Amino acid sequence: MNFCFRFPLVCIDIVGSLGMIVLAALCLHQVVILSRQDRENPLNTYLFWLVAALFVLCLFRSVGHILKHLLLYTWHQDLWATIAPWSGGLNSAMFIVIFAVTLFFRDVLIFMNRMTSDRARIESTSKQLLSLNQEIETVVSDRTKVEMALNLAHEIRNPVMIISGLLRRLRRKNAENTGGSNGEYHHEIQQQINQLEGLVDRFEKMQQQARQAFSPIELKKLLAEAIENVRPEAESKGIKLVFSAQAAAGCHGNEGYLLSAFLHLLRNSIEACRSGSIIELRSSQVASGTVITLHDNGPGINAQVVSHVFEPFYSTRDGATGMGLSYVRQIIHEHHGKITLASVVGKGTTVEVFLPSHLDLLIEGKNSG
Amino acid sequence: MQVKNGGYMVFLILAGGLVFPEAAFAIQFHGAPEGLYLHQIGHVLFAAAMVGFAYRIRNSRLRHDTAWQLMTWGACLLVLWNGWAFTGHILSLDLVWQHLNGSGNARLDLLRYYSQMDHLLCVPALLCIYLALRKMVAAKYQHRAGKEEQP
Repeated sequence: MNFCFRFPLVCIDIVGSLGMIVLAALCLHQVVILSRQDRENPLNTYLFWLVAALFVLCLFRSVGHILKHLLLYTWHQDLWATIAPWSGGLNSAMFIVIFAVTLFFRDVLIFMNRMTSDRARIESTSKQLLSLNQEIETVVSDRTKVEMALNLAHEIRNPVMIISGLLRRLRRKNAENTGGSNGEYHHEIQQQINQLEGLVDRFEKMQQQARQAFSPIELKKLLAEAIENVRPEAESKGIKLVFSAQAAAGCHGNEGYLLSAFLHLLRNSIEACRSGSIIELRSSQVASGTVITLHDNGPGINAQVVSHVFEPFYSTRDGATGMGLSYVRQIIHEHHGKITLASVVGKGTTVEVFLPSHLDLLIEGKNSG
Repeated sequence: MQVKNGGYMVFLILAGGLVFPEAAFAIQFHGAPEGLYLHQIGHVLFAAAMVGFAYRIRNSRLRHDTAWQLMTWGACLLVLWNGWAFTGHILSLDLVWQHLNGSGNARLDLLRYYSQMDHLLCVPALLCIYLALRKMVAAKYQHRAGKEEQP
């Protein structure tokens, strides 16, 4: 092979080898930045090892090629004969290392996919929890406001009534004795008392106004939504969910609050149950409303705990606030409903919720009564 | 008693081996061609690894990402490079004088000549991998900047 043919080969070989060293070093630099940016990302870790192996291969190979040209053109064939097996051997070893590293790519991808789906699920669950928490806070805040107003109304009403009665008697007596000369003062005082009575009435109406936000609810739809919300959690634990509801079942109330309450009851049940358990949610129509029964065949709760489950701040779990079931009871009571819990250790737990179907009429009746 | 007899038998076999020695071929000798075979197997494995790498990228969500598309191109070029180098090594099996002076077969000589320009494939392959990694780093920086801008 003459020089004219050999020259382009040598040029491509040397320039290519130098180019490979530079590019491999740049790749390594980029992958180091990448893995430093996100150390917990398995894909970055994988890329780091792959590129590191490629860098070592490029380095050995390119240095070998350049050395070969240098030694052959300076008549050091013997030295090259000694170095060549090492250079080739190291290249072969690096091929196998790259092959071995690449074997893990499938596992890394599976791991990444699982991580991504888990992250999405956690984000969705935390959003639900946040919204649940906000709803519960609203319920508690509304309830507290109403209770404060009612307490205040109760505390003010009695003295105001007594003062009003006494003033009327005083006016009458005064009219008999003095001929009604202080009548205008009495009139002023009576007006102020009337204002106080008006205030008391307004406080009492607050509770009524809170209930005016209630609307007709299709309970079957609401319960189905609650079941679908918790289905992924149940399935991940290997728990079977059974749901049956009467189409006619309905009530008057706040959909958001009731959904929060049933979600909480279902999550409590899922948390308590083991894999293979069955959770049943059924609703049935009775004369005055709907009975929703949540039954699980989990480990059950002992009688001592059952008597305290609806108390605020009572919890048998570490890290739990103990407010969950207390809020649930609060929501059910807001709807003039009833909630009971019965449990047998080793057999399961049953929560029964009763919601009146004509809450609007019930409230009206109460107010007029 | 049986155990004692068994012991004598083992002793006799060992003693016989010492009296009449023969080559046992317990250690395998590795001749020169083995290096080339191993190197060629290495090329096949490297190519297979890159085929698998590209295939997995194409069959995952990563295929929508430009950076991973570049990575796939890099892997494909490395597969071609391995094929090229593998052929080059086979063609170089001829004697050195043939390599230097020509085998007389013009087509074979031309193929051998071009097979030695394997850098024309492996350098672009590395360039693709470098660009892919640079895109990934840039995307991470953008993602982080976007997160910091959020109130």
